[in-house]
Amino acid sequence: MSIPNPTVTGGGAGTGHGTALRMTLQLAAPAVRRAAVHLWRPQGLRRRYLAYLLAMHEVIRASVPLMELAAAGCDRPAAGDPVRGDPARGDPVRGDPVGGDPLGGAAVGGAAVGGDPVRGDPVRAPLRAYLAEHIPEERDHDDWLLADLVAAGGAADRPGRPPGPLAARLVGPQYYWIAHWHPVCLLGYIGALEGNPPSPLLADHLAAATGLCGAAFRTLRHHAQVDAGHSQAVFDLLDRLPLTAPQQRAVRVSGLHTMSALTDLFDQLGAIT
Amino acid sequence: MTAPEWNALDALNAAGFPVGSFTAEQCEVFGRLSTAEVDMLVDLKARLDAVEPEVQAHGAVAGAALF
Repeated sequence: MSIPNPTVTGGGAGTGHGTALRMTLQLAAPAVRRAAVHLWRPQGLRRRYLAYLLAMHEVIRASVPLMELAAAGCDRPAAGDPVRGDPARGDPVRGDPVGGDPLGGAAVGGAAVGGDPVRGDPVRAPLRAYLAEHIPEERDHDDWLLADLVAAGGAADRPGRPPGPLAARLVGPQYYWIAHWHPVCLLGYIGALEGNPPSPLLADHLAAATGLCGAAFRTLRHHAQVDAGHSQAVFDLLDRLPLTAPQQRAVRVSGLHTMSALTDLFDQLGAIT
Repeated sequence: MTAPEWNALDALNAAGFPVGSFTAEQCEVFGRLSTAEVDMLVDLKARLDAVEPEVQAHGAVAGAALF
């Protein structure tokens, strides 16, 4: 298994947390690529592409709601957050989304001011600004996928079915982490998804292999063009954010979980013959 | 008797990651990984190893994630 030495833009600048996340996700990337290659094999490709559009609709319909939830979460402490002490007095801090670490690491850093996790957290304002800027870029992509589905000969009412457990496993943890720990966790999810976009060659390859019209690949083509830039924006933001050690770990766990769940989803789709 | 100290690079090396070829920057980053993170990486690597030649043969059209 070869591990690429990443060409890192901005490496060494700022905090470097985006660089570290990118390097960590690259350790997991070969597994995602393997699953995608199996998904796109020629035999039975038309059926799998239709299933892929439905599955991606289940995922992408949550993109803007997640970003909006995270943006709102930048202005309030996590739900169910236990009473915390005042680190300025040296009190222990329990379950603190700024300084505590529910993910198994030592509690390092943290900057709660008088026990207020919002006012004392320098991550929240730049995170909120990033989300406000990028939410419009992601809006209505779920509708694009439905249009692609219709163009590919799929039934437009199919998304009315209950979403599958693998899509929920991919998306669902983000709601938990945002609501109960810290909205910065979403950056791991975004970095993982936008860091593994469709190849620029993929839409043409699929069109030729399936015989479907070009309108069936609008969303793929768009993401192949823009996601590299979008993922760069996420990593650049993380390179500027003064994350605590627990926050760094939470973002990495979010990203790695996303890679794992994405692999599972692609494997399930790839099993369709 | 105390439990051995956690060493992420040792765990990655034991799982077959090419730790010896990592750059100093990679060693610094990966050395900070927790057990949960290494466990996820090891699981993904195990699933990859059986089919890696397929990845190398068709990588030009790989990629599929959408956000």
